[in-house]
Amino acid sequence: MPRRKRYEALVRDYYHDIYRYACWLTRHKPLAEDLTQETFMRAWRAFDSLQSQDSAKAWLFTILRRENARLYEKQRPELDDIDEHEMALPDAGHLEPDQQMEAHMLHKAIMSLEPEYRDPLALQVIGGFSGEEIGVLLELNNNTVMTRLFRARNQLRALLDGKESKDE
Amino acid sequence: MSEMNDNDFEQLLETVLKAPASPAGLEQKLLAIPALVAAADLQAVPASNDSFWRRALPVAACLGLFLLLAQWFQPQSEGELQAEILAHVYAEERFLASEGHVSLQDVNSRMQERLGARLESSPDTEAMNVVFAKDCFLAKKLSVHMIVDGDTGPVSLMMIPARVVARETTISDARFSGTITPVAGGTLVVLGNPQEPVGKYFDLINDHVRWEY
Repeated sequence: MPRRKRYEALVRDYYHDIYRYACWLTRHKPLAEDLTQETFMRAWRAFDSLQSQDSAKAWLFTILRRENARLYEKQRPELDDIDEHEMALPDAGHLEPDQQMEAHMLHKAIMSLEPEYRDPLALQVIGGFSGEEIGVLLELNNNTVMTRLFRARNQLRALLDGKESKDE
Repeated sequence: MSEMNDNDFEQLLETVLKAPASPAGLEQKLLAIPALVAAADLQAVPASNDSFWRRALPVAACLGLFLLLAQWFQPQSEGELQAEILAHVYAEERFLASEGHVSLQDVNSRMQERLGARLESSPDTEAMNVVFAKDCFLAKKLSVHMIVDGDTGPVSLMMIPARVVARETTISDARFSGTITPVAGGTLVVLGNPQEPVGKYFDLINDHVRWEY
């Protein structure tokens, strides 16, 4: 398949997940959109270095993380000026009223998680990556990843249930 | 709140984490990247003494690309452009307060890669305190957005590698005021507080920018 067609297939297959992950990484939708564009521009420029389509998703997430570190991490104050409206949960009208309330609480709880817990969780749920793959992306060993995933869920459940997490 | 079972929790977690929906038009912007990058690269090809065909090929490619892009995109009105620029500045509002310093060398490396242009070193450009420099899409072109310390606050300078307005136009809202001006190699946007003497920054950039054709 020609290079351009393969690139277009890559965009269509992954841009939703890349954008979603960028949202959780930056917690700011306009920045997430910029970051998604930057990621795909880098991907296009380096397209020949993509070994196989099987590794494309992890390759894109790696580019995204690097671009975020390069462009925004140093310039963005962490946690102290997050615009809640920017990352407000979109319309959850398809959920039952009880579930809507739980969804909003969970959304708030995820926003308040430390990045070291939020990142692996987002990679697992949005990207569908295994613990080992997350370890490669975050440069952590598998045990650390699994521990963080466990603690992230524990903290979220505790927050949802209105309790303090035992891990804190 | 009642405690959820594991399945319900996982389902809710997936719903919430996957909730952010991609903005309208993002897919088209991403699909247009190869064409935009090719246009930027072709613009940066230096003149040479090679054969006519070797020289004509980029021109023909540019022309073809231009026709293709002209078909793809409707022209943007001045009002739409002004709205896009203001929206971009607000989207990157947090960088207005950046306290870092981007060296002229770093600015030039970004400008050369994206625009095929550079700022000449001089006491004036070296004295300019650039606190932020990043490429972005403006008027459907890969452009460069810099923020410099102005006399009364941050000043946004945007360089678009194409003439996207026919003549100088003013741009303003309650918070920002500035100009969009066609220049030799493209379009220069300068935007600051209403009290900011933006003409000074326009002159500074316009006098020192060198486009590589």
